[in-house]
Amino acid sequence: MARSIELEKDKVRTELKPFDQFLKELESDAFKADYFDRFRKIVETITKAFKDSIERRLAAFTSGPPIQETSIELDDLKSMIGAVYNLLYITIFKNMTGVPREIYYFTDTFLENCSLSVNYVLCLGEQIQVTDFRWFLLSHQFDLKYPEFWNSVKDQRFYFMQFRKLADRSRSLDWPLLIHEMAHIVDMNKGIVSQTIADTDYYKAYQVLRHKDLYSEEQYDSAKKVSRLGEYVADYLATRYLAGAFVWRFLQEYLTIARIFEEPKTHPDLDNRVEEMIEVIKSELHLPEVSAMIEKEFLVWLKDAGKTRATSHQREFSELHQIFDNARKGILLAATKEEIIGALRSKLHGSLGAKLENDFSGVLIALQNDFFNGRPFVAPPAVGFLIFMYRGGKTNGKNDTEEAISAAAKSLGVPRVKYEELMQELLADCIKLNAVYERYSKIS
Amino acid sequence: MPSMLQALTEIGRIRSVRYRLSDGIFGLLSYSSPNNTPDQEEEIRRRLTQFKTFVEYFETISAYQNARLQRDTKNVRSLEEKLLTNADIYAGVASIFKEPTEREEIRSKLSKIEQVVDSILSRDSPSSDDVKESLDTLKALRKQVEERTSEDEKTAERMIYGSIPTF
Repeated sequence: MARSIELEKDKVRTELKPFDQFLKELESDAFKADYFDRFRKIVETITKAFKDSIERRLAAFTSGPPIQETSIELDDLKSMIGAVYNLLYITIFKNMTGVPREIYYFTDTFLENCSLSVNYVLCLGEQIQVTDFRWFLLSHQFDLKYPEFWNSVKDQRFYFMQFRKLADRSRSLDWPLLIHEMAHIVDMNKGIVSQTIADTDYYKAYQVLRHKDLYSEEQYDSAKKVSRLGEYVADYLATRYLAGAFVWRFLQEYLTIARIFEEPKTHPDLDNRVEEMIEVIKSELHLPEVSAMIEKEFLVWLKDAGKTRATSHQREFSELHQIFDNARKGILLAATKEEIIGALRSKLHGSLGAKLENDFSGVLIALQNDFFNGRPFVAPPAVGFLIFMYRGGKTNGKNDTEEAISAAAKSLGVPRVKYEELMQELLADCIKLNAVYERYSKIS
Repeated sequence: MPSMLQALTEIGRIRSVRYRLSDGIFGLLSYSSPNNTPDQEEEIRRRLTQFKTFVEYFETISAYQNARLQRDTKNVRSLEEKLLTNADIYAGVASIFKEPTEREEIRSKLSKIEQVVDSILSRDSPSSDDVKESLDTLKALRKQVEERTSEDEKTAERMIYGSIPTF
């Protein structure tokens, strides 16, 4: 009998072996980039935690119960270890290689601007989403079923963000959508919503939202509020960081299918979100040129959706004022007009630089023309996106940016779609160049 | 809802119930082993305590349903807070055993088992018949949970490991 239990325990120990192989694979030259390095750290931590705790866990099983029952227990344990391996190896690692390095430059720069240093990786997946690794462990009951392991990893902050359609350098214009997801990590780590709302366990809120009939209306609404506040904060941070590029791409690319991706129970009404972001661009970033452009796009969408714009925007939650205050403190530099002019002034040393104060718009148009002629611009991402998107709103069916792109494509004799892809690749390069420049500046 | 969170909350709801039943089974099967080490004794007590907490959920759910029917807002709020101590267990129990009458029957059975567990935790020896009956009940319940949730669990796993497109 005892011998059989030992055999069962050996099967559990065997379940840990693939982790060693996994770590060996991660050491290969193909995975030397720093983002694999940060991933390797979490795999090492997990492997060590399993190895340090497995014997204590196995020792908890006495020889008293019938072998069939112990077998069930040990199978559960084996499946939990296997689940962690599958998540790390299949869901994450095998989907990391398709992510362009430039996206990490983009997301890292955002986190630096929020003074946040957390371990995260980007990987391909069917939906744009960010997940806290601890949610995975808790849902698999590690805290109660394997407490020795849980206690040694529960303080590890590790997140993985999944996406697929945007994982291409020629889709860089849509990368601001990823900043919204990264902003969820900032909120969770800095407790932006939780400073104002006491119980902001997002996992718990989702569990409540999945089972509406089980709760009182008050409790359901409270969970909905937590989830929605999290979305507003992510919108807010993305807007502060990118001066409207997030809401612009959101309106351009995703608004029409937003309800497919985002359920109303977890995400606020899109009209409300856009109104909040327009307000931030106007009153906090002082960029009326950008807010006017977004408003034009918004009106087009409203018309298409058979809606009209509310005469005055009613904020969905009164707590948003306080929460945005909390968020504002969490971000070092916002893409205000002043900051953008400052960033441009440090780069422009000719006639364009001299025009900045009096003809901000003219400078942006000149830079846009340069950019569309293939000239890169090394500046914070907000500036790069602003140059690309400037004059983008439709007026009487006419869109100056679209026309500029078409004209540039025509003059180069390149099909328009191909040309736009090239421009997005150039934007991706600019993001990378700026991140490298920032790092160099810090060192020097 | 993000598909990963959807899948994780699904796994959480299913396993929290199945594993808590296993806690009871493990504790009842192991407590009488003559050669248990102090660590093993402690583990048995830990698992049985977890099981007791789980049983309390049935009672709290029942009280909560009554409070809702009676529109007793104050009670609804405090019971809801209690249920949300572990939202996975509440979602699991209430969704796997949907019918209040079935839940009531299970609650009654689990209350009897809880008495057996209590006597073990207070270092008394329950009768072997009571232990056997408790074990039979818990095993049957666990089997029922497995039957009712295995498809949902597989679907959730496929969502996590990537073979199901999620929109």
